[in-house]
Amino acid sequence: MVMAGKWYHVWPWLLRILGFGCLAFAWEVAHAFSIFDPTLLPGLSAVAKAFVKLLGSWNTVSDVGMTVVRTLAGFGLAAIAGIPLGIGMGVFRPVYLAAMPPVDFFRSIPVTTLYPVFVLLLGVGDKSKIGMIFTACVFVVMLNSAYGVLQARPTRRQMARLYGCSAPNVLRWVTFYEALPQTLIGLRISLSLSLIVAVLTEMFMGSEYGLGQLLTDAYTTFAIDRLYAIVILTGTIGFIFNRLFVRLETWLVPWSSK
Amino acid sequence: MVVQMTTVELNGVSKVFQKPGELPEDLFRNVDLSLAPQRFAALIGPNGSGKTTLLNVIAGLVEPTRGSVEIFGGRMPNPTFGYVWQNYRDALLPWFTVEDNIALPLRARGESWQFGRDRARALLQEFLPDVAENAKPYELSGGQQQLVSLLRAIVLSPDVLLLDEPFSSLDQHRSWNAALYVERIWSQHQVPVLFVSHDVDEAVLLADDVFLLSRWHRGIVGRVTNLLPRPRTLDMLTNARHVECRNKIIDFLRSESNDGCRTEANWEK
Repeated sequence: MVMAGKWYHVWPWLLRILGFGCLAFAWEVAHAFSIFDPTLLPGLSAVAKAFVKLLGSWNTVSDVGMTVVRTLAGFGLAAIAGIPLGIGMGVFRPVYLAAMPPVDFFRSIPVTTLYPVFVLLLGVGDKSKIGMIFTACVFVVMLNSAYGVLQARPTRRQMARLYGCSAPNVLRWVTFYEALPQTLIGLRISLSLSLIVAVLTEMFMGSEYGLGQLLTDAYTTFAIDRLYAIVILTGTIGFIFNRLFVRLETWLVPWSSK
Repeated sequence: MVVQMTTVELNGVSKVFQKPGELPEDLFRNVDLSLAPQRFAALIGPNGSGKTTLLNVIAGLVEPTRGSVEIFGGRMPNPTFGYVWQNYRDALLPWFTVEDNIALPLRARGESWQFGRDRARALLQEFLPDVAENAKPYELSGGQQQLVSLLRAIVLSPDVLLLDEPFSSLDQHRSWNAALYVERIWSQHQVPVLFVSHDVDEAVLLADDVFLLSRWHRGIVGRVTNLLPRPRTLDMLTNARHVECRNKIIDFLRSESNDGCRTEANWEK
């Protein structure tokens, strides 16, 4: 390859670090020149100290753990329900036509507007939190699985029919895999979404443990350094989720890029 | 042994396409065609003449507008087909290994995966020893993928073999070599075959009969017969009889591109 010799192909990590570096520099400049009130935008070193202290506390493990459990519970339920429903929509035209208008409507409702409904129906416990995460994700999963089936090229199904595959066998040998790459895209979007909703519900409803609760506590007690440390920790978790999922995708559907 | 002369018979087959709001248009009409197991048949014609549709009519994937397709005189209730599609990327299943792809028709008809894999491995060893049985299709070259597709087509010992421009995306010399593979596999199985091609040399190299499908006349307008002995070799490409057949077909294709200026020509000899 001709491009292999360029310095940014030899050391791609240099540019990746540079992006973070610029961001940190901008933060420090904003702090040093007091663009915001320095107590409200503390320096990076103070935030770093708070971050280390946050990681050193055993309670943080419970907080991270509960948020992750809620996130994965809502996400998992959405996947279990959404993938078969989406494939059903893609395979059976009448199901698609009947399900599309309500699905389209419900996915257009921001899940946050349903907050009072969930509190009224399910209370302020984990049921309500996981329910909201599920609702935010399930339509995204469904639609992507359905599109995966609908976008499939017809040759493979024609092939399966010609060689005598029964309808259930076409479904599990061809259609399921055909829809898998698009299904995984839906799941990846849902995973980010579920973390957002998990933290949000923890902030609104409150809970014994959870990153959202931790944020509210830091905010109401004016522990500003700690507040930023929690934001960074939450971001790191989302980042790790995303990275792991991309790994999973290339492992599960190695053919999709070929 | 009784030699069965004709096993696939098309009688007056027509296909009419009608788009909404437009007049119906014949793709081809009154096609009569016979395929016999001991004669390799190729079909050649310009784009849009309906070659693939004709194959699909034989395979029962497309319903003809008029006419009938009889396989073994209608005496076989559920004939099986082997089919090789033009686009190997679309026709093989990339989530299955090569051996599972080949085993699929057997599995679909109720055999166990194990039985199918054993058959697949035997075929691979015989015809494609370079291909690992647990490789994934996308790890193979285009030509190897089409040959895997071909092994899948014959794993059932089908009653009819249909090939739709299987090597059109390969380099010239690779496609000729792959064509000779087809001959080898076919000569061991001796099934009626229809090989759709747009490559004149490839069609003549493989076939006993090359049928000419005209876009202008909406049907089969002739047949060129190649009497060279089998097995065919690449040396035959320059043989006088090969060249004679080839020239006839090129004349036909040229007249097609002139949009039928030479309608009086008779291609049958």
